[in-house]
Amino acid sequence: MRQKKLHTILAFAHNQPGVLYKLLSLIRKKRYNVETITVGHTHVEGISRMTISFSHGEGNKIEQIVQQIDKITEIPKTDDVTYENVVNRELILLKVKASPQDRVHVTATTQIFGGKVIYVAPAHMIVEITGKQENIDNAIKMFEEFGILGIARTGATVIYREEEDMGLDRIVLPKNRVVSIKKKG
Amino acid sequence: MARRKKTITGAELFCRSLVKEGVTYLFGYTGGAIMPVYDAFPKFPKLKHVMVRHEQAAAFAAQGVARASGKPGVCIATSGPGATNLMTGIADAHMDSIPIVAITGQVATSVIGTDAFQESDIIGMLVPVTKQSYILDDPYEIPRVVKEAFYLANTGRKGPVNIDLPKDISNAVIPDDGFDATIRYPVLQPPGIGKDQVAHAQRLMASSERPIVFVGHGVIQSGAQGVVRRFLEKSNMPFSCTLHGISALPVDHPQYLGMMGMHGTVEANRAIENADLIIALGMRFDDRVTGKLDEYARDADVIHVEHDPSEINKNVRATVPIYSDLKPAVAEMTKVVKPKPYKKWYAFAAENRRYWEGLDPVNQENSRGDKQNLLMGTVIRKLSDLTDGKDNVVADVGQHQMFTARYYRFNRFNTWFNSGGLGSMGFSVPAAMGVKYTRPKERVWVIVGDGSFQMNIQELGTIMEQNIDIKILLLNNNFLGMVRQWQDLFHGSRFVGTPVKNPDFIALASAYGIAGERVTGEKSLEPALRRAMKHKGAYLVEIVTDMDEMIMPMIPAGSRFSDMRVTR
Repeated sequence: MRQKKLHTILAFAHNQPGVLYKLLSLIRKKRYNVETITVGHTHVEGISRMTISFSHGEGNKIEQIVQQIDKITEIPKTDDVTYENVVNRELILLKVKASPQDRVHVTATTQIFGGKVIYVAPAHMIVEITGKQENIDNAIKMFEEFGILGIARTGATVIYREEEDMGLDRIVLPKNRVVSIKKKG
Repeated sequence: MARRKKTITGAELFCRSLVKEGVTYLFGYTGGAIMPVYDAFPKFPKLKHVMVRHEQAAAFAAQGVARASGKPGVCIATSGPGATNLMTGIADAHMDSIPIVAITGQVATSVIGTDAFQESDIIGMLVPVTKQSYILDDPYEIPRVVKEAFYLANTGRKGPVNIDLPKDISNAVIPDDGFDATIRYPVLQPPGIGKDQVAHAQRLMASSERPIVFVGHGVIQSGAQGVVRRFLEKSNMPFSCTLHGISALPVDHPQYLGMMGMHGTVEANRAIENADLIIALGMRFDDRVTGKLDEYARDADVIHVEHDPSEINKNVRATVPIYSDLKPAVAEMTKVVKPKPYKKWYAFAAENRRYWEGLDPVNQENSRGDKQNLLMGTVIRKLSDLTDGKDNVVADVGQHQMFTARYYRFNRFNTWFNSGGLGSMGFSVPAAMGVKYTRPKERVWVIVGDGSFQMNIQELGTIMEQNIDIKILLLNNNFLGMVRQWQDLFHGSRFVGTPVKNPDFIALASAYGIAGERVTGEKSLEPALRRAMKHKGAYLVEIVTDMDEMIMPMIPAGSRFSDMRVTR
C-alpha cells in the first residue's frame, strides 16, 4: 500500500442538518478529494468534532479551504492541524486469513501494534488496532503476509494535546424552547 | 375555564417578523406552497408586494433595493420552479456580496423528500451560493430565523440568505407568545489593524515612488468613502476603481486614473503594471482585475485591507495583510502617511491618458462607426453630459456595461449598479425597478443591449402595472456585442450564435403602454434623451449602434498587463 502524507483539518460544528453537506460542498468546489472524514459529538452538547483529511494539495489552496470552512455559519472554529501539537489516531478493523497454525502469529503481530483480537473463525480472525496513520499503514503491511480479507478504517480523529479552542464564544447554543414556553405559559 | 390564548399562524408570524426587520418591498411571484404567506399580506399593510413576471427578476429587483439602500432586499417565490428560478439572482448576489433574503415556499414537511408536486431540494441547490440557508421545520423558530437571516445577510461580508418555508409550517396555528429570537451565530468582528502592520505600511508608503490605491466595492458597502478620500487627499496617491468601486468617489477627482482590469483605462493599467506599491481597499483581485496572476504587478508590494480573511492572499500575496474593516484601518494609515508630489508618476499617467485620448474612437471627428451608426461610447458620453453624471445608472452585462463604466462620469456616491461577479445578462431592467423603489425621487437609467434586454423583457409588464418610472437606454447593434468582440479578436471573426434577429422594440414597449423612440443618427440623440428625461413614466430610447465597435483597451483573459491591446 502506497503511503501518502495527509493534510488534516479539524473543525468544530454546530450539530445541525446540512453542516457536513456545506463543508463537503466547499471541498468539492475546490476540487479536492476527501481521503477520510470522522464526525462525532464532543463534551459540549450540540457541538460536533469533524476531522477531515485530504491528500496534499498545491499552493495556498489548503489555507483557502480552511478559511472558507471557517466562514460556514455553523462552524465556529476550523484549524489546519497537520503540523500542530495534536494526538492523531485512527482505528482499523482487519479481517485476516488465519489457519489454526497461523492464529498464534496473527495474535502476536496484533500485540506488537497494541491491538486485540476481537473475533476468531475457523479460517480467519478480526483484529482491532488503533494508532497513528503511519502505524496503521505499517500494520497492514505486516498482516499482508497472512492474507487480508477485509479492511475497515475509520480515518483519523484528532485532539489537541493542550487546551482546545472550540470557538464556543462564536456561537449561541439554542436553549430548550419547550421549557421556556412552559415557564411563560 | 382556562383563559383562551391568542394564536397566530406561521405565515402571519413570518410577515410580522419581516415587518420587524423593516421590510417594505417584496418582489415575488405566488404559487401553491407560498400561498399562505401571500394570504397573510393584507394583514400587514407595511409589506408592499410587487408581482414580477419571472422569479429571476424578483431576485434582481431585491438586489436593486439592497444595492441602493445598503439594507437587505427581499424576494419571494413558491417551491420547485419558483425557487429554482430565483437561483441566478441569488448566485449573482453571492458573487457581488449583495444582501438579499430569498423566501421560498416548500412542500409540507410530511412530504419533503418524496418528490412531491413542485418539490425541489432548494437548500441543497443554494448552499454553494448563499451565506446561509434555512428550512423552517418548527413555527416557533420563525422569529429567530427571520431575524438571523437579515442579520447574517447584512453583517460582515454581505450576501444572500435563503429561508425555505414549508406549507404546513406557514399554515400552523400556534399560541402567540414565548418566542426566542436570540441570534445563534454572531458575526465575528475583524481584529483590525495592528501596530506592526501600521508601521510596516508606513515604511512601504514612505519608500514608495509609484504607489496606487485600489478602491473596491467594499468602500461603498462600508460607507468608507469619506475616510478613503481623506487618505487619498493627504497622501496624494493616485487611485483606480474596480468595476464595483466606481461611484465610490467622484470620477472627476484629479487623482483618479480610471477603472482597472480587463477593460480598464490605459493609464490605470500601465500604472498598475509599473507600480511599486498597491494599497487594495475592499476588493478581491478577481481574474478580470489581475489577468495573468504570475505576472501581475510584479514589482509591487501589496497592502491589502479586507474584512473577509478568505480573500486575503487568495489570488495575490499581500505584503501587509490587514484583516480589518476599512474605516479604522484606513484612518490609522492616514495618520502615518506623508504626502509626496509623485510628479514623475503623475506625468507618466498623464502621458498614457493623452496617448489613449488620441486613439479613442469616441474622440474622432464624426465619432461614428464604419456603417455610420452611432458608437456606444458616444451615446454614453452624451448621456453623462446631459445628466451631469448624477443619475442612477443600472447596466446590464456586455459591451454596453463596459462602455458605461468607462464613459459615464459618475459624480454621485453609489449610483452605479451592475452585475460584476456573475455577469448575469437580464440584470438591469429588474434591478432598476428595485433601485427606483428605493430612490423614488431620483432618475434611474437602464443601459442595456439588445441581447440582455430580452433576457428579462417580460418585466415591461411589471413596469406597466406598477408605473415604474425608469428610463431604458437600449443600445441595439443586433448582435451579442461582447461575444462578437471576442470572436473578432480570438476566433477568426466566426460569428457563431451572436447575430440577433430582433423584434420591433418600440412596438413591443408600446404594447406594454411604454413610450419610446428609435434613434439612428447623432442629431436626434440629444433630443431623444431629453424627451426621455422629461417624460413622466417609463421611456424606451432605442439607439441603433455600430456592430463593429469594440470596447478598448482590453487585456485578453489570462494575459499580462503588457499584452494590453489598445486598438483592434
